[in-house]
Amino acid sequence: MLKLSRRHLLKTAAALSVLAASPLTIVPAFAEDSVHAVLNGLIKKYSDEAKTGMSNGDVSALFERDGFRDYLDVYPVGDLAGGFVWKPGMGASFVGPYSKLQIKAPFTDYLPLPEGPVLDASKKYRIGLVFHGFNHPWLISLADTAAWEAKRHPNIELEVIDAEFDDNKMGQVIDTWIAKQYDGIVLWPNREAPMGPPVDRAVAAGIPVVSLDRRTSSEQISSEVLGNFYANGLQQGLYLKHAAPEGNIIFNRKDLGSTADSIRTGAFLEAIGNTPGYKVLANYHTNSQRTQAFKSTADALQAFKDISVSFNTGGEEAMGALDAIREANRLNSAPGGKKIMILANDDAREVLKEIKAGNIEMVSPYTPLIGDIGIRAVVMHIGAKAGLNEAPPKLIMTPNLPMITKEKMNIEGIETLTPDEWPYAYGPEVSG
Amino acid sequence: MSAIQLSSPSASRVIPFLLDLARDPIVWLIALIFVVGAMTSQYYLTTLNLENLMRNVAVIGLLSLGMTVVLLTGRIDLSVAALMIFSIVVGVVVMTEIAPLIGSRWLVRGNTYAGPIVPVILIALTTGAAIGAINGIGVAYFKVASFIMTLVSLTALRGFNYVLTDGHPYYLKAPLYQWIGDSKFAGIPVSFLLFLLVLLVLIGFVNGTVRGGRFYAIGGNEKAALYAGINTRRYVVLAYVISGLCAAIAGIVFTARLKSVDAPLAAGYELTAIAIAVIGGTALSGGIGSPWRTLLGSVAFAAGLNLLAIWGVGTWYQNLAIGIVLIASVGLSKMSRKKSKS
Amino acid sequence: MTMNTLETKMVEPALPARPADAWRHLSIGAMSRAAVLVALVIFGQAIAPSFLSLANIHVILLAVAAIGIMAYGMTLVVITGEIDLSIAGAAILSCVVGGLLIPTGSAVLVIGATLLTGLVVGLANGALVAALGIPSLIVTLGTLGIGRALANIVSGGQALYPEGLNAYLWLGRGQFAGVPVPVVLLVILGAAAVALTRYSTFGPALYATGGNVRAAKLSGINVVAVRVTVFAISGVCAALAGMLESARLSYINPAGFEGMELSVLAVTVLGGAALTGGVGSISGTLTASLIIGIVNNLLNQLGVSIYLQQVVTAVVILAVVLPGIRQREIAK
Repeated sequence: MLKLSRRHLLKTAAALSVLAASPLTIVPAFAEDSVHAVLNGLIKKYSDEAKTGMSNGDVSALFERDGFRDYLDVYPVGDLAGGFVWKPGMGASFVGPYSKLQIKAPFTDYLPLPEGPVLDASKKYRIGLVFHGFNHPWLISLADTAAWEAKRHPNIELEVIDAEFDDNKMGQVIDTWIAKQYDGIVLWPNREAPMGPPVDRAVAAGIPVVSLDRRTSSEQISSEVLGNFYANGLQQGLYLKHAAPEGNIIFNRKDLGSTADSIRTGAFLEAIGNTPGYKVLANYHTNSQRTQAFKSTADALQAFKDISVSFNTGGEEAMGALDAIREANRLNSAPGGKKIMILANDDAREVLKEIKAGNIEMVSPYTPLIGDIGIRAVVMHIGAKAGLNEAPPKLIMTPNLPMITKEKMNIEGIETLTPDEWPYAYGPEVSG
Repeated sequence: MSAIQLSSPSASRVIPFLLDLARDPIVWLIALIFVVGAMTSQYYLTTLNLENLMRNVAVIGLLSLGMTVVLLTGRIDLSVAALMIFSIVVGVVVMTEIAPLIGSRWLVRGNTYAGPIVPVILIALTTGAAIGAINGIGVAYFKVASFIMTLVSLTALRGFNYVLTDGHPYYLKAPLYQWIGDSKFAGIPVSFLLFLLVLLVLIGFVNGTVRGGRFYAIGGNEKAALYAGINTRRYVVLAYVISGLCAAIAGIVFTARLKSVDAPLAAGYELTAIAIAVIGGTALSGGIGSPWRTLLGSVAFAAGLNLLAIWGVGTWYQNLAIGIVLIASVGLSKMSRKKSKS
Repeated sequence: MTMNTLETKMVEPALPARPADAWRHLSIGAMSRAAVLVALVIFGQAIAPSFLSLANIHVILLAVAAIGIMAYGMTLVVITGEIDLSIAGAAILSCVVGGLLIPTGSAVLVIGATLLTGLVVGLANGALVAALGIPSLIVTLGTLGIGRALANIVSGGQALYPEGLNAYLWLGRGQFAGVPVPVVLLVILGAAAVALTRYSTFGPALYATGGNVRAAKLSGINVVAVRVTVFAISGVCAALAGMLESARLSYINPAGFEGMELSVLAVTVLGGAALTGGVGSISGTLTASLIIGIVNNLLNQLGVSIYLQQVVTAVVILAVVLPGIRQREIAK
């Protein structure tokens, strides 16, 4: 038992998902041309190439230094549950119960649950959702979709608690719900390691637990709804390769060791690692904070006069970088008087506005609108416990989403979408 | 003070102690929380919830105990939360560096620490005491303001936590660690028993010995203490060493529950520790307070938050309540002290 | 008992504003800070060729504007022997309350509401500290939490965008005679604060209140009024600084300014203010914020990781603070 390392466990979990969803292997024919399958194919292609070696010394050095390989190898990539095929345009529209914003959630038809009472209609089901950041646009939208799904079913009672980025507090919330004998728990874990034990305790108490987006170190967790970090970082790399064969890059990355940083940045480096023209100028951890990304970019602009690419692991960072470049009057200061390319993640409305304006080059959507999947999955687990239905798969992949660019493009088989073709953006509308 | 009687209980002292207790508003507050909790939620007085409560008290209680001793001398320690993580990180890092020297490898794949855990605990305790001593020496001998000295430690230790771990977590799954984090002894969580043990030792030392009494003397009137021949510097360093040790023990209890240690954990807990000591009646000006009252403060704090959590009150309103209770409790005790003086 | 709640009573209580003493102390501290500043500039120019370019000077000054303005307020509070941990809470609550008026389209209303909220938070702090005698560390720790909680509650946790409010945005993005507005404000407010502390009748009252409350009271100084005033100023400074940052990014983030109180406090102490009260200067605070700003700028230019930067910053603070204390000891 002691000898089982986390990575080993994750590998086992990944192997299980091979059985469930055959990751990185043969894709069922009917889904072959779906965005999801195309991107999984590209992930495999570039990952394999990177494994045989990276010819770009700069990229390779950064890749080695931060140990990206360890993280990438265990991040599950696979097919969608139940042979689901996602196409742009799918999903349901509603007003977010918390944000009061108009939302179109893309995956409401994934592992669907009909409106009305669930499972035993005579029983009330108490479900807890614990996450961090009721004052963070991405995370409010996550809670919005979970609350929307819960409201569709009159016999679900949902309690939503914000642990304010205190992992210990999140553990305490889960312990409280175990004491209150909740029927199911959904969580958005900030970091993997500390959330494993509380999840194990809940599962041991017979309560199904489903994690959203990020992962926990628990091997007992009922299901994990996974994000598509891999496709995010990869598309940032593919776009850059498509746009320019060379460039001097500065990085605004998330917290060292966080999944979002490890997988996105790792996938980006995998994608560009065999193109010799890219140089790594500077590498900052700005911890998802706009002000920090602003400061580091402002300072980098002074240190380097030849920056041509700003890589950002999140939308907050990209906005901070753009503001700093704008303040320094350096929008077109890349070598040859070209525009500094800003590569972003997170399809916030403010980011899409800057794509439209041509200030941010591309964004890989990373939708928070997946809370509903978590609620449905946990309900299915509660039902499976009572013998009412089958349990959902342990690893629930969310569909890979195509990148958004100002003009429509085709990059290595990925049909990009324009901001106007993207109804799923989250966060407040920015006027002006 | 009531705590002095507690350290040497005898029949003749138990009754006045109980009378004292009955007059203490914080005891009534705790009683009120439990009564309201029992009346409003069927889950409040369940074994499971009380265990949760005790575990929550253990971590913040340990931090607050160390803080109390430092506050008694009229100083402050902002480094406790960063130190509690740092001491464990150092324990693991040192052991993994030692391992190759004896031809072993204790950090197995996935950053799980597979070496012996007792040395990690010992190194953690040593680290806690050492950083405490550095804080104390800086404050007592180099005359750096305690707020600044420990703010500098806080900043540096938070940075070191990342530098030493590269942002990766270490998993700690040794049986002894599992026992500390999850087990019970006579129905009481081991972590809470550890807290009680530290509490008893501190009550015995601070309230039961002449040496311990000097913390009060220094905090009450430092110059008088100096003229009375007390080596005030040495006692200030000692207070910080106690605080550092408490932080390291808190770190052990904390990481044993999470079975891992991670650089950014427990951010801002130093402010909670100060708040609890103050709610327990410790004065920032020094000389007033006791470990025993800090126990009451931490129980009141944790029980109140636990009740709000059982009710499902949102975090924002919890924070609002903490802020108001903090100011109100100090304000009320100030007023009652004024009244009793006049 | 004085209000010097935190500090050792081993140190001689600072005397009520005896200019000769104050100047000697200031000059020792000021010398070590100036030396560090000059050394940093020389070092910076040696390793980063663009260090002394106008653009980089703008970057550094813009980066320290908000923290510097907050630190002015903090310095006044610390001189009276108190502390203000609520500034981040005051800043974010003020910005959010102002932000709620964005739909009115009136920048005057938004700016007015922001500053007024800062004033109210400061007055509340001052009243609780001065009138009720609750230690300022407790009061402002409480109002820090309350301010953040209320900011979340009134905004529903949603970010606000002051798009289109040109006068508001000008505060963060505009220029005045070629100098960025936040820098202009940093200088003007610094000059005003210097005038207040050195050349007005309020100055001696301020230092006296922090130096020796009893003596101050006996000499007829209204210490309650002095304390309420400095907290009020600190609240307004926090609101203004918060507004400059929000305007610069055109983004009011209810989760913003995390941990700002400790950074500002570090700058204040680095600037020579003693938490025991009675000692401190605006010019020292400004120098200290420049030191921190330059260190961060250089470390970023060198690509030093943010985690190592925390360690370096800690060392710099100690390196600047320690000699001042040693010399003060020797002088005694």
